[in-house]
Amino acid sequence: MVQENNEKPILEIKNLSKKISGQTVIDHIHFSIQKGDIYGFLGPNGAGKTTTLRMITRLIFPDSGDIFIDGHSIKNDSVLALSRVGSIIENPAFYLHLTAKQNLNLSAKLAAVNVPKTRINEVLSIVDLKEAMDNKVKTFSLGMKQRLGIANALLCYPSLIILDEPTNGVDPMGLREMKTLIKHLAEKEKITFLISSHMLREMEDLCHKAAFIQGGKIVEEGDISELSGVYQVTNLEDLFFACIKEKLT
Amino acid sequence: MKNIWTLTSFEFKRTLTSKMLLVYTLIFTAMYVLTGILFHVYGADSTVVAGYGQSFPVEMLQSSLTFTAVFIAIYVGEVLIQERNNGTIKFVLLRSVSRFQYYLSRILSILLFSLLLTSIMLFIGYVVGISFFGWGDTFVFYSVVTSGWHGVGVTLLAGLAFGFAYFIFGLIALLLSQFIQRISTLAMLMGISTLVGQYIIIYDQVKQYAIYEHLLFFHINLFEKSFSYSVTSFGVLIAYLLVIGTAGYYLFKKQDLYV
Repeated sequence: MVQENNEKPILEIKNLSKKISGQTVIDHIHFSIQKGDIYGFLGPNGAGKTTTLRMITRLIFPDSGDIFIDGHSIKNDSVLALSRVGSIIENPAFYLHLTAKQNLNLSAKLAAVNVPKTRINEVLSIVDLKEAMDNKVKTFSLGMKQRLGIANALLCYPSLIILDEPTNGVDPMGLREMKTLIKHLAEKEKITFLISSHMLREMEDLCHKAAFIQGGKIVEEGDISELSGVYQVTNLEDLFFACIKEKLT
Repeated sequence: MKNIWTLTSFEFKRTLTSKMLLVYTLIFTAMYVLTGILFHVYGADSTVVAGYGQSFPVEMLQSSLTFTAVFIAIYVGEVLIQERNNGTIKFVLLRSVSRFQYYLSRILSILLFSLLLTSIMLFIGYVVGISFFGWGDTFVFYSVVTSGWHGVGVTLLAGLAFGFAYFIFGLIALLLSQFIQRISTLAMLMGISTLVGQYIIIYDQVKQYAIYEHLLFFHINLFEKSFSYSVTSFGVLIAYLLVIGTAGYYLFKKQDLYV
């Protein structure tokens, strides 16, 4: 029984499509993510990564298909499905006139689960922002906002965290810290990550599995080391181009 | 319910501490002081007031039509257009907040803002009115001539009616704000609509169904017209609330948010 639960995908995307202004931007995509994965959602700019993530988080609505989070359909029960999901879509948005702590306080009040006050300090410590917690967010650098975004995503004890281009604006030092943090959270806290990016080198030592998206279609999906074997490549960048090239030809 | 309360109280606190509210207060103060000065210089015939401090606040409500309409539209822009443009709408919606809860919290915030703005206008009216004319021995508001606490009661009731009509106007702005990208566009559109709307209400057959009639006269007609006329007017505003509120919610519910 335990084994069956482990095999149940935490995120399942079925036959998802979306047209914007008459143009198909997502074309019947299908993939699933198992618990504990760090899953890369990779593609060039304009491939449909953010659109897909927006559909997962219900900011926009698919024309067809469905999304299941922990078995709950996002169409039928979005609040329950998203109750254990933390996310940063495109860029983290905060009330700039409030402090980091006040923002997280508001976020905690709006959560479906009970978030104790100590959790706010806890997540701020995890992202190393405890000293800046009483500063207004408008004084934060982009990197600090990204870290605060991760703190916000962590707030509700999520089982799935969705990060859209999380390395945007993060300096090399911050980038290394972020990778370490994601690996730590995946291993120790058993949090599943879905990370979209077009920065392949940054994703290489982070993700175990990936879906490659091009022109709104999933061109390849699976275990990165297995796919590397199939395409006879040694790194993620070569794998990406091999998948895209394969599709184009 | 918890989320609606959290979002509404957050918006209300934000409004109370905003610089815009201070600016609105200063504009109303300047307008009221100017009216007081004009009364002293040119007399009652050149102004809309009778020259009694106790009736000055309620007399001044109608003259603020365009200002109040624009301020309400700007506020609506802040609670929806600005949230969308700044991306803070996703800060809320990515938590366990449904679109219904979010939209209802916007409606309640507009109601509170309308009442707050009316309260500020009445307060400034009393301060400026008493400063210029003293309390006075009579309360005069159209055919209502009274004094003392009864006059205060009439003022408060008229204020409530005035605030309610502007709340409905805010709901129309909220619906339109789903198609508009800039606060300034919404404010301009709603401001111009009040100027144009004043011409619609010259037609007796339709005027009771036009929101502009109620922006200008609902708080006056309450004391000037028959009880059944006031009930019908109130019913029209409730119908606006139900139709515009529901239509706005369904639009918002289906809207893709590219934030």
